[in-house]
Amino acid sequence: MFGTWGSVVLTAVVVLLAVWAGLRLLGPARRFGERRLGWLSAFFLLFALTQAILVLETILLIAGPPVRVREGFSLLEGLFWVRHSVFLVALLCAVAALGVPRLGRGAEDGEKAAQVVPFFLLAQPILLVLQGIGLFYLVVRAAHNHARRSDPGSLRVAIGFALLLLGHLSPFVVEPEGPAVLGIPGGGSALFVLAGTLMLLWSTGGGRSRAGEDG
Amino acid sequence: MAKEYRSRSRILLDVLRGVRDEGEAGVTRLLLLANLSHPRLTEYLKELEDKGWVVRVEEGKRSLWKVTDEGVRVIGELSRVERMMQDFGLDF
Repeated sequence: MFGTWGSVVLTAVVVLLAVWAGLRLLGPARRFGERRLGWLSAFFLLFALTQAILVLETILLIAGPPVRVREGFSLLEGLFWVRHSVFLVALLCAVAALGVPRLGRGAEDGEKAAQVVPFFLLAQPILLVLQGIGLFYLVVRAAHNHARRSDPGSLRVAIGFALLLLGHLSPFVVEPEGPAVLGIPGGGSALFVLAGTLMLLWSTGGGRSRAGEDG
Repeated sequence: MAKEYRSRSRILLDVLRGVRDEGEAGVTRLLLLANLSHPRLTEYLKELEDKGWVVRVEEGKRSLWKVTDEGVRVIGELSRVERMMQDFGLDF
């Protein structure tokens, strides 16, 4: 559907939108000392960083042969790992904003977890699956919230996270070249992510006043 | 019964709305409206006064509280934060 440059442009727009959403949340988070808004803001800003790295990766890929940082390790590979690690941290920030029971029970557990982390980061499929699980959790939470509230705002958030999940999954159900599997056209990933980010950005404004409310 | 969770922003909004709706409100009335203990209410009122969102008006021996123009703007802002946090499923 889009060429590679089309995807780059779409992803660059996502970067701007995500930064906008993050800064929009950061204002009230600092003004009113609302920590969870701060976590949500961190999610958007880190997500913007991952998309910016994706733009850089794609441009490097188009530009020509991979730049070797050292033997056996290219700059592209480095960017790949940084992007996915940052995305995992972004998802953790979103989960922290929504509030879940704390992981681990003390310093000892924390140390054990720290020893395990590099193994996760070295295992690409596990990394991608973890991201999928994180996004799926956000979708389920948002859908549950919408089921409780039945409000256009909560619906926007649920659709926004669902589109991000689709954007994450679509590269795995699309043939690298040729017609799409499951009807998702090539380049759709960037479009899904853009649409999802737009929906979420829309919700960070708090929407319009409803009858009988302030503001 | 478990007490309903209220975020910091929600408490600020409840106090500000309470003061605004009453026009000029005394501490006793605000205790009921904001559903806070006396020490916590005093703490919040001091913070709101320091930020210039409410002013203290002395009426005889009584101290009354009144929302400032900035306070009215903050109520609007906090209401938007309330809707946004609820949209994202964050407890407000």
